[in-house]
Amino acid sequence: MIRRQQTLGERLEERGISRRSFLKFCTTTASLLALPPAFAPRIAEALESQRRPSVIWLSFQECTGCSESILRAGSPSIESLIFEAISLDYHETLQAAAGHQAEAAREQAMAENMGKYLVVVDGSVPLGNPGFSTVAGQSNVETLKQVAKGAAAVICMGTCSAFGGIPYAKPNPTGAVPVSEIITDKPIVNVPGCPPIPAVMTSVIAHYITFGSLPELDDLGRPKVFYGQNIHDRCYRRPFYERGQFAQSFDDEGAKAGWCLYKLGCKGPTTYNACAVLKWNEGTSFPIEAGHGCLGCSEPNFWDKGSFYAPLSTATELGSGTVAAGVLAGAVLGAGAGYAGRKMQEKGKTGPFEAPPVADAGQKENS
Amino acid sequence: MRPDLNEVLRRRAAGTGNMVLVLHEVAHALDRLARTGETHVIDLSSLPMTPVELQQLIASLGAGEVRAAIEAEGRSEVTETGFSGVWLVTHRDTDDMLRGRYIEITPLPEILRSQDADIRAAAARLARKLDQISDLEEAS
Repeated sequence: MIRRQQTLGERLEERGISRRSFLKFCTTTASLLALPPAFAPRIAEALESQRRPSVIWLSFQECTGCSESILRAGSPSIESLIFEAISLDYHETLQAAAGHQAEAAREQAMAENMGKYLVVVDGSVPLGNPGFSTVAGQSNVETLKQVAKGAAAVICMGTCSAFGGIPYAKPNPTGAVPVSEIITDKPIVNVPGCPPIPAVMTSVIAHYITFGSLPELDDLGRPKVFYGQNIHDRCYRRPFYERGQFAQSFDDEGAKAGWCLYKLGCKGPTTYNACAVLKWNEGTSFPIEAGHGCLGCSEPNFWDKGSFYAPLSTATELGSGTVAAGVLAGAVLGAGAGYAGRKMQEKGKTGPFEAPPVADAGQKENS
Repeated sequence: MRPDLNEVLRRRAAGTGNMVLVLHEVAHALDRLARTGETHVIDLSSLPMTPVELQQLIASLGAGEVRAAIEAEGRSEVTETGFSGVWLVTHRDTDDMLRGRYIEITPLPEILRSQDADIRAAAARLARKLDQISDLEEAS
């Protein structure tokens, strides 16, 4: 697609983007990655002098939303330039080649960059009937094994490849699994989200190019710098939660006043992602700011955790009486609710708030 | 009993105490710059600080002689504080969103300098322009 031998520095020059812009990008990228500012020149030097790494993008059981998310980063943003500046040697949706030529391009990229190329996967892998999802007559699982064999690392783009996502949801008719259940001998970084935030993806790639390694990961394989805090802790509506001021429906006075959406099913307390900080659509807003609760899309099994519109305390079919007590307890517990809610989700049976219903709690049940 | 929102906000407004710590870090870095020429950068977005504390910090540093605006994939502002060698640098993106705020302890922030690669490209561009002018003059 792009002449591979060009360095990013040469490409910047060709596109008339100044080194100041680039320096600024590297400085703010260092901040994003929670690196000391002194690392900015190192990031610049590494990005500028590197030949663009070969990237093979595999799309399995997915909706292409992840590709859309990344490629629709503001144009022509430096982020999109960095993305363009990798050598994207295979991407079914984007590449001009088709059929045998497309597969030949993938095989050539693999042969030329054996052991060094990055594999990006969006979509889960069906283990049921191989015919559920094939490309060029090859099942997804065969393709994944074949391509990952010579990869330096695998980046799972989106919740489907990271945790199985929607295809993995009950009853999982295709026997879908995440990449990590198939590839066990390669470094894997999970960048979940439905879809993930574009800057997170570009920063993971920038980190890899700069340091030759993946960023520090949490216990679910996600970069800690982006998934280290939950949405709730960074939410601008948090003070309303602490005061116990909740919207009871999407059009009541509380909703109009911007009160907390916990009772309307917001999954912010149990969802670890950077939406509240980095936001979406070039920093415009994020779902909660737009008036809808967080769906928890960057967490495993988010589709099977009960209704999107039931509060966390009832998400696993608790009795309605527990709702009021749960919300009240949540208001009092503050930060503890996030932890408790998460434990509840893990157990999948009992709620975090076991106090008996309080008749005069001042909270009406959200039936 | 529910916590009182005003009380929560008052407690938060009271601050993190980081403002004075940052000023100490600036003082130490400035001392090193004066003695050895070593430069330093503090990333303010990585430090928890209330808006009030941030305002106090900026007010404490005061304003110096230089204020520069840079248009590079969004607006950046570089301001010399009342203490020579201490600069406040703010980066915004093309949508004017704040992307980073830094205190640089240096004789000249790197972003202000013309960059070597840009200088080389500019030299080539100017030479081409002169060639075009010469060609036009010859043609006329």
